[in-house]
Amino acid sequence: MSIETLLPWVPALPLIGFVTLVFFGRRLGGRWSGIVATVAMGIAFAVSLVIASDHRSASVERTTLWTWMTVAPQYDLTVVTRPVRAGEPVPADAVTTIRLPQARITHDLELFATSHRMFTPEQAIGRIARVDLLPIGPDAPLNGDRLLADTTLMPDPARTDTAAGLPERPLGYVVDVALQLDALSLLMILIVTGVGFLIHLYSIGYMAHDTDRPRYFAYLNLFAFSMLTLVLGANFLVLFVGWELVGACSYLLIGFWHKDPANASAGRKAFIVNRIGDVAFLIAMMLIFTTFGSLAFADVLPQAADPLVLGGGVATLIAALLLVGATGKSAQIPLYVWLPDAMAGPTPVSALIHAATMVTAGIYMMARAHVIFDHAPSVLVAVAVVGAVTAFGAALIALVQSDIKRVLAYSTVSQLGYMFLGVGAGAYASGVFHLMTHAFFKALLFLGAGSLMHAMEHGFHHGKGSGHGAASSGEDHDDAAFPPGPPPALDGIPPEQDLRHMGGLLRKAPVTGWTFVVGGLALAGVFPLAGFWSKDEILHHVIGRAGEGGAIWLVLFALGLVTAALTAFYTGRLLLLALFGRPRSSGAAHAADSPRTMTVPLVVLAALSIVGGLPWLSGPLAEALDPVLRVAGHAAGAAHEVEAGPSALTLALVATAVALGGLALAWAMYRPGTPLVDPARLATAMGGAYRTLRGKFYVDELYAWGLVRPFTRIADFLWHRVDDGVVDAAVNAVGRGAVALGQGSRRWQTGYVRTYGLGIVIGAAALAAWLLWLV
Amino acid sequence: MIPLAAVLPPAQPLMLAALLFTIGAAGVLLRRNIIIVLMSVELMLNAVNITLVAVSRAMLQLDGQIFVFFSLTIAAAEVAVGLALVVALHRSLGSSDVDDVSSLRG
Repeated sequence: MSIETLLPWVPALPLIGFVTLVFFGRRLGGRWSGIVATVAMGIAFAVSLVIASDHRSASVERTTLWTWMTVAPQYDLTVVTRPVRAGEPVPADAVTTIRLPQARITHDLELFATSHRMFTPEQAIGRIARVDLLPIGPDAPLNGDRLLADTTLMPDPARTDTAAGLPERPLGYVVDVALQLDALSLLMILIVTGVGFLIHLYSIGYMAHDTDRPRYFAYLNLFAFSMLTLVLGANFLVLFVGWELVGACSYLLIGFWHKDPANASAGRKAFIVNRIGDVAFLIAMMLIFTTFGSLAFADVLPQAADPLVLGGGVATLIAALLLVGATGKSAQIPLYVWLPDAMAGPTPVSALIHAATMVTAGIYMMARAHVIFDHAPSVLVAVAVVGAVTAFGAALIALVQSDIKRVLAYSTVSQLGYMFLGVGAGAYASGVFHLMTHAFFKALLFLGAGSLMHAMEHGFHHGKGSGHGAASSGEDHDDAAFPPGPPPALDGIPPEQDLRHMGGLLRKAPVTGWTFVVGGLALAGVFPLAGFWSKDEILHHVIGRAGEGGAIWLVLFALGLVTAALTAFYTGRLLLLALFGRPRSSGAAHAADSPRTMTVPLVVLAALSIVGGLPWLSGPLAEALDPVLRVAGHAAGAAHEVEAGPSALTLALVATAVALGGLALAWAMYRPGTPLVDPARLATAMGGAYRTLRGKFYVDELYAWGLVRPFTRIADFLWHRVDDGVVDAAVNAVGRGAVALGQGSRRWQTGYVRTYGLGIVIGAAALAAWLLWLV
Repeated sequence: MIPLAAVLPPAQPLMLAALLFTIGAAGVLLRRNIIIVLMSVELMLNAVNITLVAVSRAMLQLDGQIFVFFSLTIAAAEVAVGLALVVALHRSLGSSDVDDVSSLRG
């Protein structure tokens, strides 16, 4: 079982799941749909593990599935120019090689029948001795055919040099649907299938009461297929297919409960903002094609080192456009606005798409095309700046959000900023490493949040006394009597998601609570959990760049450090508000833990968050990624490679201090009992800043005013004045003209026989007169 | 007695025929009773017959006169059909006024 045969099954299995659910989902029903989808992911994960065990370091396996399209295929034709004997080896000075696009080749098909027979040496002149380069199609020339191509290109028998005037670079091109497996894509498929499998499993429990489960699981499997296609593609086109498809699946899944127009709106917003980035990506691909002559990674990436190819500002332009594309997909400034709204979708969707996988596609793409970025250092600085600023800004916004999912959404944006910062510093492997650890703990946090919401809902709807199998450990005497049922939504936040209504859930939902704590601590970067290692590595590389030169890196490092503090703070706030203290509503008071199908994935992810960052894993990881992500000259990723800047130990201590400091401040403000600093008083004291952060810097409003409003006005103008006013008016005018013509012609239809008789007589008289006058 | 072999100048019969044709056409256009209209049509046909005979006499050929046979036959058939139509029309419409046949008025 070679990797070549196994590899297509990894994306194929979720695709089969999708197709099955599309056609038979209704008949299978909700429960079996979930099982089919989860099993498909599970097998895909197993296959990925088998591939991983088989994979040799630094090897790149490619599987071509089929040829997608051929664009003006070219042929390298070796044509005989001197008399040669058939059947003998053709000497090199008797032939010349010309390259022609298929459209320009005409060859004598009749002679094909005779080409196998012997022909005289003179008859050999002008025949094709060999055909190279993409021989395909029924009209392709064959050996022995007499070439009757454009005579200006026919070789002069006296000359032996190649025909002049042909373009240097082949114009024709063949696009294959091909999959590529190397260390980077292997890591990605393990993450996608592994975390995806856990999320599918979780969804079975989370969506158990939803009536539309076949559609949900079909979309989930389609998403998995798309993401796997994205990371396994061997050329930019297959990557782009996956890229667009994940955007479409994101739209479908965010707007899953589409009956509520707000959800559909959020889905649309995600898709449209994504597409803006995709336009940039598309233009970048076109530039790549014209620069390198190919879109396959095997062709592009080795060539990128050649300064003749990437001369001028082309590399900068391509890299800048790729950056814009990545900001769209990975929710960075300025295209991040869709991610918080995307929380309108089911929570497992948020976990899968907007934490672990789709949003990481931007970082994957930049890692894949890193050779181009390496030749555009200014763009790399831009990447780092975008990442750091986004990380900082999003962390600020997350400080004051009351919706548990919004906190996590902005946290995701912030952590993606960290990955961008790592990539911008040239530490591609560190960025990818953070991608992996983030996938673990962020998925854990989202799933945990979903479980907490589930617990809250249970508390709202099944109050004290209703025996719904609640596992609450003893009713506390001081669970104040809350009114049954959910309280009204504040600020439009559903009450089961509102942190202000939670509290004390650690006691009521222990498995969820403790795994949530693990995830939170990993996010905050507490040693020795996963987040600490990856964040630390990124910061290490950033400060290392500052040592080499450039004050900007110092600023970025400071931003990164401050963001780490903010991250720890808002995480502490999140944990304290949700899990500790007294319940603040009936939901929290009567909450119960979730079924095992939901808690088992939480436990697995918590385990991964604990061990996923440790050096025994990250070391071999960096080594494996090194051949793929090697920056010219020095290896990309291992922390010990950075010479300049403070030592690793110093940085680790600083990072830990920062994280603990943030957590301590959160404890001071939000601890159960009398907090040291009252958050409410602080909010009133810093009113303006608080309102700005709560309003998310009013970016959405800015976009609405600055971009959406002019656009809607133009659309309205085009609608009313152009479409209604011009196009419809023209069509209606034609109709009215036809009616008017008819109305005019009606006058002749008097219905009186005598009128018709008069017409006949007049006509006959006129005809007779005409005939008589002719004669 | 005028010998049959002599040529008859067709002027006078043609004038008669033209006059009859005009009277018939006027009748078709101006009279309101359907039967009168039919009679006027017959008058026109007979005018044409006169024309045919006159010219055939003037050219000393029998073709025109043979054609008159056909014309008379067709006139007879046409009258039969026409009168049947008139009867049907009168039954359904209740009047013989040609101006009342206007359901195709558009």
